[in-house]
Amino acid sequence: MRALRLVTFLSAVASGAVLAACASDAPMTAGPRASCTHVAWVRVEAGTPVVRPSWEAFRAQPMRAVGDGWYAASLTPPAGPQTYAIEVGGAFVVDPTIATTAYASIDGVAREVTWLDVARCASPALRFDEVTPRADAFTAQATFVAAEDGAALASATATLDGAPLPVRVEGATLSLSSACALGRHRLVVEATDAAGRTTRSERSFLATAPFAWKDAVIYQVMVDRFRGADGLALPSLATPSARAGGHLDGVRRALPELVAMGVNTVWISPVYAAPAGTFPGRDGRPYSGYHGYWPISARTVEPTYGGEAALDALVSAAHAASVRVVLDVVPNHVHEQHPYFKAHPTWFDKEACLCGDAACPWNAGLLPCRFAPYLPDVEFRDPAAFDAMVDDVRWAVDRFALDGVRIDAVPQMPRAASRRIVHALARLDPTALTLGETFVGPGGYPGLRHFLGPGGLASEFEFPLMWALRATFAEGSATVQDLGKAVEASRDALADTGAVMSLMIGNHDVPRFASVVVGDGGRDGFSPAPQPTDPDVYLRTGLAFGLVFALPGMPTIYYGDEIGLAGGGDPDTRRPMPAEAGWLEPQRALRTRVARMAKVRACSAALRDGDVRVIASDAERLVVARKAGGRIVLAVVTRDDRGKLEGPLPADVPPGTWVDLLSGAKKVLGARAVWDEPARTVRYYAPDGDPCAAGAGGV
Amino acid sequence: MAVLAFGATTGCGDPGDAADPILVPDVGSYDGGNFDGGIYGDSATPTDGGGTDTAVDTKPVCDDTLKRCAAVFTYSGAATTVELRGDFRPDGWTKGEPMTKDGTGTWTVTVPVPYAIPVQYKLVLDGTNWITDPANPEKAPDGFGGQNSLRAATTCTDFTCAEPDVPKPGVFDWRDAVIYFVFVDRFLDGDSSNNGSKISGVDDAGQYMGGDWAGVKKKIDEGYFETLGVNTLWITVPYNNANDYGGLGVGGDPHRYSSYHGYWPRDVSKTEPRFGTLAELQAMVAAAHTHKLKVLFDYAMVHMHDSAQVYKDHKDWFHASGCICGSGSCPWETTGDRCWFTDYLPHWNFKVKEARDYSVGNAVQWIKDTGIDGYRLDAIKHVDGSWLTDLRTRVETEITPKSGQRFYMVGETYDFGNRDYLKSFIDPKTKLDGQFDFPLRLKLLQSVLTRKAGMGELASFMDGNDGFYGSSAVMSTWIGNHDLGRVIHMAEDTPMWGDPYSDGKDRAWSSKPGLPGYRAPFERLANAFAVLFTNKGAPLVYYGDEIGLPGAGDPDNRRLMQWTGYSTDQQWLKDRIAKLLGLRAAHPAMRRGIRKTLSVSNDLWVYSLTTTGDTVYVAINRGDTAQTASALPAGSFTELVEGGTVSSGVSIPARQTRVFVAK
Repeated sequence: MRALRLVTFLSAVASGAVLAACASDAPMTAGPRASCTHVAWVRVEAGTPVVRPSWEAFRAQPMRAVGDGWYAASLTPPAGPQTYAIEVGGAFVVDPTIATTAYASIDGVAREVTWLDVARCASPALRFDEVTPRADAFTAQATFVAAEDGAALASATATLDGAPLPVRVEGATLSLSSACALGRHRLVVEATDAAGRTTRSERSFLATAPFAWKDAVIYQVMVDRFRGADGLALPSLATPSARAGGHLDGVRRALPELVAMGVNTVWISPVYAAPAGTFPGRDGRPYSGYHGYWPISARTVEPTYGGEAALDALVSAAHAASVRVVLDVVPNHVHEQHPYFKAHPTWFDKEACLCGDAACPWNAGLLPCRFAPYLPDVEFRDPAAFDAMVDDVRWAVDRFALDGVRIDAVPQMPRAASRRIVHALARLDPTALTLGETFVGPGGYPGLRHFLGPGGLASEFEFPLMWALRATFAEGSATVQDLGKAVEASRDALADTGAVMSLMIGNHDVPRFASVVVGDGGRDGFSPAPQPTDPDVYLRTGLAFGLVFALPGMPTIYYGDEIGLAGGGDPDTRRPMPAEAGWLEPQRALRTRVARMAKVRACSAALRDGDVRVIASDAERLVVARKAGGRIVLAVVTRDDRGKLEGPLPADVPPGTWVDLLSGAKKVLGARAVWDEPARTVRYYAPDGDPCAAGAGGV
Repeated sequence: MAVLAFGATTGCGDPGDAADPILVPDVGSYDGGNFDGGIYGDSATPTDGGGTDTAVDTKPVCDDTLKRCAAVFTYSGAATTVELRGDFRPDGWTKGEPMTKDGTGTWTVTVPVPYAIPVQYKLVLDGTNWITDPANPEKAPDGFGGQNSLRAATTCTDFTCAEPDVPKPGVFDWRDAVIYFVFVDRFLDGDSSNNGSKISGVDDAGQYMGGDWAGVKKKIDEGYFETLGVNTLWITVPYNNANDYGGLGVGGDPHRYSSYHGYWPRDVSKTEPRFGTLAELQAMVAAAHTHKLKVLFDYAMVHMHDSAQVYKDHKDWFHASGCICGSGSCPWETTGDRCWFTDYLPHWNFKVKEARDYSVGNAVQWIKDTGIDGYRLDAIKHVDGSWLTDLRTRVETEITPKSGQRFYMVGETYDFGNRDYLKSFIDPKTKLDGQFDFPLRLKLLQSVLTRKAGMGELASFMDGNDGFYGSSAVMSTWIGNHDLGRVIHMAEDTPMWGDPYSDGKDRAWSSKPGLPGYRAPFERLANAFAVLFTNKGAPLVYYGDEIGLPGAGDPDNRRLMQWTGYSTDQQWLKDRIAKLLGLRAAHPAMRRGIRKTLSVSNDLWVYSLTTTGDTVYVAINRGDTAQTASALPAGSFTELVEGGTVSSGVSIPARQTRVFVAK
């Protein structure tokens, strides 16, 4: 964090120039020390900015020009969450060096202001530099930051999951390490300085084999619609909008088969307590709260899903199987039965304008609209509301030992909200996934970018790529070459965001891919779309998965898409997962292909880490080169094979014999490559002898 | 790097050196932009964050029709000279490419061949010996009873771009066709002596109404079609029908109809007497040709009427009776190739070679007897594919060498969604030149007429649709036809039918619609025609739609053509169509050009069309308020629809199209 770096720098400088002795003769730290000052920065084109700190009732203070349009002011904030505004020429701006913001009422108007959680400079602090888990052990290192008076570290203790852990101290550096079981652990370190003041800091980490989110394969489960508590398939629904009876135990029991399919992360739909009965949708038909997106409680798990016990059991079993758990959270709104609504009316929108109405059109930006009259929208300009919604997310991740969150309705909230959630989670586990749902249309990269970047979300759903996959493989309204261009556009538009995107062929808000193929995508959600019998539907679904598993990011499988489950609009797109006994042969074959793709991807660093280059494409074929270090894979997706595609290989792709990692088939590539693969095929070619080939030791 | 000194900190520290340097932080250059702002006003961080510049792509970009791939041809035999001849170039059969011997004694030449199109070729040894390529097993019929070598279609990543071809003056190309569908029985009664008598039991709307070829010829001679700006006539089925039979409608329709439409053939070797004699038919076609109009006949190959002698004599040439389309065991979707549309229409079985030879032979004979220029093939998906490939082979063998002109075949496959299926019938070498673009019609209807979708959706559909059927396909694009409620009613303020797939038959017999009495529907229909007339394809005008003729579904959408007493709105529409077709004829960019969207919003679509030597800009406002076209390039433009000089920022009135060329 910027502030921290400055503090370090300041302190390093300050400590260099030695100081007159203090009242105490406690030994001085050789390491960094806290500073009571915080420097506020801003860069302006014109005008003279002033800084208005909340702890001084927002009274304006001058800033000093530093040159080049930069201004700075040295502030002395009290400890705890604080805010300050910067005003220039009547406009309010935020400090660009601090990612987190909040809203404060200044002169009667709610303004976005810089937010930071100030450490107590009269106390020491502990700063974790790194926590490195492995499957059976971990190491960690922390730095003791002395209080402003510089008193040195006197003693330090630590616990792992409550049990004592030795700490090695060298100067101001604390090192810890220990064996530990698979799963999530809590590390707490306490340090006392020479003046007897104590500080405590904690981290949560997941011990697994080496993992980064770029290696994730996510399975999206809608809890009510997946499996019953006994792990068996749910009965079919008389009314598509009724509860199906899905249970968290059903998700837990499915873990072994998900792991066998290559899944290493499960994203579960929201588990807040939900209202009983039904409420009218925009179409006037009754809907139950089966989906979980209507919270009536901040911190209770829906009893019909199995309550807290079932969620704990799921997370525990998942971690033991090296599967991560990502929970869907809904900070944007509550159901009107939620206690917050009655207790804190000011936390919610005043005029219930319905999103999509003439007064609140979808494309007019962030208006405080409600999704439905009974879903009050959180008013983030109320600081108490803002803090409560962020803290509820932090609480859930902490309480249930989760590995990340999927954040619902990101663009319906101010960007400040998702940034503060990222910040709150990072304090406990900086590796926690923050996967935001920013629902955009084709080419909607500006919207996606807005919420990513430094201090922003770690991940979002790649909706533009999803639309392009559907247009090319499901609808047939775009060429495979168009899809190649979409792949390149995705790469270029997101390159500097640092994000790891979730790649999907569909989700719970759009008609099922298989139904779009046969033209049932427009079907009303209460008139169930038939399960297609034409094997070609599943081959086309396989093409879409084939490209998803060959691109950088986190392939994300919406439950059922691995068997080409049918479904029209909402709620038919969320029909119960059918029992395996009823799957058609082409459905099984699709799932087997997807599992194979996941297995090869898990083996191949080129597929997970490589750069992306489209090296050949035409209306029906796409060849994408993925290169990482010395490894290379050519992903070839062929929609139709009425002709062939030729062209010179790039200089760094060697001619010779290549092997398809998926099937083992060999292909000889000359200097002028000829792509003549059969229709509806996916190939992941690697140079012959690649360890990830079928039957080779690695796969 | 700027430096700032700060005053003292509190606490035990030294007050601090006034010269303590503090570095301006590096905030990076990430630019998350503004996301609609919204009432919260997400602050864009006040840095100078800039986006990353993407490198300029220097690869050539051109339409698939202009792309060329380098293809190597070789010959390893003995010869003094070897030349490559083939259709890799328009004049490639007459003017070949000499091959040269390489170091190993192999003759070789590299030529650019069209992208994604198979190439037929031969090698000419020593100037006189034409042979197929011995090293290539792939062959195709050469139209003279022999075979050519066939190089399969390839695409390539290292294509070059050929110059766009400009239409040669005086040479007809089907990409320049504008088709007018003449529903003969309802067009004009030119000779009442051949009208025949009414058929008992048949409702008035289903009776023959007297239109004939003499009437069509009259309008040809008057110049009706050239004035309107069409150049191709699609004439309903000309051969003898069961013209004394009153048949119940398809699928349980309780009304009775005559065969006025021509789709109930009784004797395909004779003309239909109620339309005229063979001599009159030939005279009509000749008159059309004199007026530089091409003629397509409707050919109905799916079934015969059960009174046909050929059915009585050869029941084994037909699929068994007892399977009626839409009945329990014979759904349309799965038995469409053999089910009978009604119990009096036996379905041909073209897997039987004699049956196929009979029918294809007949189709070819009509061409020879009348000199027509193409066929519209009714319900082509309902017959075995061999009928179509046989017809194309015979046409290329027996007709094209003599006429020297491409014989155009457009198919009717009634499907608004499945483009892959439509495409499966299209291959100018062996099957159709194109089909009626049903999927485009749906999008055009929804974006321009019923306004349920925005112009953006139409634009992006067309961007993906333009090349979908292949670079040498010529699709017939349309907005109204004889199987749906008259399109003027879908252009009303409230579309008459909410369901875009509705056939409009619910009002065909009662509550029949009247002529709209206000301008807006006519303007909207003109806009739809404007999209068709300013883009590639062979656009279709269904008789009567040029004057917004009213009517619900079949048979009410086949009312007698109205020739006089037009309302001002009807006249306005007709004049506007003529104006737009005049522009199409004058501007190759509209017929051959590459379209580029300059701006598109829900209501307004502005695009350019470019070909060598011609660039045109089109602005179509489907909204009910004026819109500003601000995406035109800098400079002055002449507006071609209403006249005048304009520049970017010009206002496009509600429900209007404007066309611009740079001054």
